Amino acid sequence: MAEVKDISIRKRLIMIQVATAFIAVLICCTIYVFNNIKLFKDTSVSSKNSIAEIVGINAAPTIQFLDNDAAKEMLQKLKSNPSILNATIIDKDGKEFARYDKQGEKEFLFPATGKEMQTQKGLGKTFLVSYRIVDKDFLGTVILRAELTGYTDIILSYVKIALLILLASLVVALIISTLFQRTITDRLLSLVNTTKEVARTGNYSSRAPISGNDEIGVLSVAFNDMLDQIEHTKKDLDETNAELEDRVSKRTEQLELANKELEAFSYSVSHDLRAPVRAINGFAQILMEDYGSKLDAEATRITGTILKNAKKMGQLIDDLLAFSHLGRQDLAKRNVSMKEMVVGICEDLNNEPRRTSTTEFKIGELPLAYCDPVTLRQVWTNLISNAVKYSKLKEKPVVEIGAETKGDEIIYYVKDNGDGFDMKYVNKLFGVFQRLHTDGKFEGTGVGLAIVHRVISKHGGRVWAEGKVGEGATFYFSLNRHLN
Amino acid sequence: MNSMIQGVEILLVEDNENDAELTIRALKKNNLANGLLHLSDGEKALNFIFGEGEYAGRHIEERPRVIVLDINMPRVGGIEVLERLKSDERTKLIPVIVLTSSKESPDVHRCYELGVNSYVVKPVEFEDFFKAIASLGFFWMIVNQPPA
Repeated sequence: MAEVKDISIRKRLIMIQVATAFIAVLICCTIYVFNNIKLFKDTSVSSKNSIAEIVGINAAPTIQFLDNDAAKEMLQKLKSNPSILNATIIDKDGKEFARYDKQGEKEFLFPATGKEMQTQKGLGKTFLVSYRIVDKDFLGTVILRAELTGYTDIILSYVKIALLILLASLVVALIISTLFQRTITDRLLSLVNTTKEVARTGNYSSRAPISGNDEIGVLSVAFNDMLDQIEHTKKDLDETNAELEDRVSKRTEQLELANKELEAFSYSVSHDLRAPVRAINGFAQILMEDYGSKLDAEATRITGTILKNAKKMGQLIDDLLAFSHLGRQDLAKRNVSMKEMVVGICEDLNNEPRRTSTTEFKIGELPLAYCDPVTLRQVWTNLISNAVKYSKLKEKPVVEIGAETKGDEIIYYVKDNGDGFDMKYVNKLFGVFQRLHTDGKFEGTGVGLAIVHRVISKHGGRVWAEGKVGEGATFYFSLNRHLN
Repeated sequence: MNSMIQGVEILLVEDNENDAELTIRALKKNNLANGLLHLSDGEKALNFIFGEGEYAGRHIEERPRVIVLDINMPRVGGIEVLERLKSDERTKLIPVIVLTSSKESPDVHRCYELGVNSYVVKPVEFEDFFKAIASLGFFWMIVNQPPA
């Protein structure tokens, strides 16, 4: 069953008005019915009082002359009034002087003296009336017992009338309230419709119609004010959005242009810087080959330095280009067997012809990872060859490679027992061209770890390191654990 | 001049004198530089191959066995030369090796589209450069069978 609050205001208003009218008319009708019943009874009682008085006045001489028969005869005349059931005349001593009983009516036992007799009232169907007979002296009492004839019929007819009035007033109330509620609900409904329309279309320019200064009028005005504000705010917001979008597209354009310029720049760097380096390298080599016998020790050393530096310059250019290339490269992610990749890289390092050290590789369990295999191979190669490089001076170099799963991440690590580093420089490790060792001890350009950092960042992972001078270093990187 | 344009087996088109010298030295060391002609830009190369301009009168049928072409050259670049060679029925069968300084180059795709026979990035380190040139010369002059 629907709750009261779910019934429409329109219906509720009608119900309230009809109920109010019903209760008011019901109270009126009840009062009217009771009042009329009382009036009916009062009239009956007073008419019987008059009869008692007439009987009493006429009975006075019969009591004075002790003429019982005359008194009885007179009482018999009451036959003409069928509502009188019993009658008695009691003398001043309280003895019954004469009595009358309506035919078929039982003998009624009247109270002994008329002295305490009061006219009996109340809702009973029968009642008693009395008259004190006085002719200079108190002579006796006349008591009549009568019934309220047609009592039920009269009550019934009054109730019928009351019901008719009630029904008529309900119909009238219904008609009036149906007409009257329109002045409230029609406006309320139009406000509701406007609200619905605004909510549905998002068109804040529509307004609720305003009529009257009552609560609905105030509500409509407030609602319109609110719409004004929303429309205003929305307009401001739209303008700001458009401006932002415009700015973003301009920035994107600038970025694209900068990117293109950068590409052109790195292309020309790779092209134009390499050529002179190749020439320096080549001609120094030719000098060594063709004129080696004519050069003394110092000249040979100087030429060697030129060669070494030219070579390093070439390496720098290549590394830098590789680094800048990474930023623009798209990742082609798939599920990659890290174990296979690492084993392959370690084998390659072991088989390198210029290799001087005898590093022992300990490879643990390496879970699959969802990543770009090309750049991840670069990461592993850089980390493992770093580990090999910085541990090559140890008597028994060991490089340990493993992984552990923590929460949503897999953390891979490469650990060596090499030269290590001071933890206070740890934040310099992953910067471009940042080196913690001199070229004399360990060669390098300072790009390898920067590449590792960039690749892992692009994968959404983290890189970090732990180390101790002389005892080795561990490099960690994390990747998301979820495969595709 | 005449002696130089007769019996050309390797045509080296390279604007960088140093690179040219190093290339020629590498080939000479391996006895592969006989019949090598070095031209310093694309325009001259096209004139030579098609017997035009300063090379008017040279027979186009005397094809070199291989053309080694640098990409970045003033006026007429390597790609333009390649395009002309590969779009001409008379010259499209000559094997062309493109040499470039740049790994970054977007040209590699274009060159293969045009039908280049080999695309080589010059190594920076001289030893590697030397080896690369030597193996190129060895392959194209000795191993490879040229079109009749």
